[in-house]
Amino acid sequence: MSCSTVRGILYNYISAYVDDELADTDRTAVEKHFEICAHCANERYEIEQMKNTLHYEFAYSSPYGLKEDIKDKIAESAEPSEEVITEEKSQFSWHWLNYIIPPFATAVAAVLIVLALLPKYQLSVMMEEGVVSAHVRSLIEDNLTHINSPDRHQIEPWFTGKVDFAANAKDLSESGFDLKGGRLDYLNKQSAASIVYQVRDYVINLFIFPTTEDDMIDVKTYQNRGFNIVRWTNQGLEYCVISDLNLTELEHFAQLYRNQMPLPQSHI
Amino acid sequence: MNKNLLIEQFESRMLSHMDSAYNLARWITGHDQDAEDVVQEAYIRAFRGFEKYTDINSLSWLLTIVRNTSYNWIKSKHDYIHLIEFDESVHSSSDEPSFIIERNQGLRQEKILTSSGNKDLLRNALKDMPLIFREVVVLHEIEGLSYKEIADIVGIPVGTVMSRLSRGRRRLQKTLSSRMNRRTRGEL
Repeated sequence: MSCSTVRGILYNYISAYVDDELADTDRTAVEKHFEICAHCANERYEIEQMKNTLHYEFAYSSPYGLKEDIKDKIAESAEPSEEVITEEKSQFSWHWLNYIIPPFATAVAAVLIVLALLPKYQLSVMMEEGVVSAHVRSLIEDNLTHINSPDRHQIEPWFTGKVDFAANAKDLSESGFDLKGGRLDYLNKQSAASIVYQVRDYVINLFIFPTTEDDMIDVKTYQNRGFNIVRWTNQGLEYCVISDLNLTELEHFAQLYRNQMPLPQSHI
Repeated sequence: MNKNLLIEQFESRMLSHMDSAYNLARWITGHDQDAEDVVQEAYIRAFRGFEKYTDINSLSWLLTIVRNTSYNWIKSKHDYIHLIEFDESVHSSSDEPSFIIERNQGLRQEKILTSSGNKDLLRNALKDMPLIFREVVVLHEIEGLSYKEIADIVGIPVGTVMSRLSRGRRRLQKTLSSRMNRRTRGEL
């Protein structure tokens, strides 16, 4: 190993050596280098010195009484009455919410009014356009998946915290629909989860996003710019499948996916 | 789950990390009282999420919350950009009383930066270092967390942890030696 390697900007072997984060072979190589290079050996010595001082002398201990304060706060927080906590907290750092919530609430109200006034067919046309655009965008930008995995148990947790609903990535590989991954998208002014499948050379985007529409017994199908779209709603979520795959197989896909879902709650 | 049982479990599992939580908040916020507020707030948040997250590394989880709470605190009280940007010209005075208690003292093997003056210089150098380097140095050197644990807490790749740490060390060394020289010349 040379000095420039050992002191690499992206990977500093001396740092990693001191931290005991090197693999055995690298460790041996770095040790050999220390034997022939006083400069690097000295650097190691200096880092170790500093490390010791920082570790043994720079730790702040929590002040006396903090533990009791925390216990009190937790007991308070476990009480059903929310008022006390809100008051306590407002002294701390939630002032900014006062500036965020009014405009946010106004915006939400405005969107709701617009949605209520819009004729339904116009809404679905807008939605259709949005879905087609998002699908095409995902294909041309080399941006198909943000998480690339055939395993639903890797894809589903990835969405946690990114969207406020459960995005189910069902494993339909037995029927030829291979799971490719997931992507965060933006549809109809809100975050949408996209689960990506592939069958033969056809890419399928399954968009999932919240909706206020009632559950649908049957799927609806559309065609737009050569793409087939199958959509349905279930328990407050809209599912929209789009692909250039033929409609029969796409409906089959939707059927398979739906078969693994809980039954619709209304219209029975 | 029964409320009292939940509190009991939470306290037995999480309160042992209080020193680490306080240390991180203290180094990020730079003030005693703010660190106390942050730690209390972080513990309440952790308690609210505790039922859902029982099977993970509780220290990493708590420190993640402490870090987020500290950052929110900074955003709400200060010019955030100013604090995270690197500005070598900002040197705080070294006459502020030090409340550092040597929590890890009992384990000490050797003490090489023996002069207390030099230690103050090093402490101030760390205090003045940009937050993105400072938090990694604090988590690794003082708390003794691994690269992987830090990567989880800060939300960056392991490689970035390592490069921030080695750059942070280099900055500390540089700042320390330049301040030692300035002190020798009577400027500090």
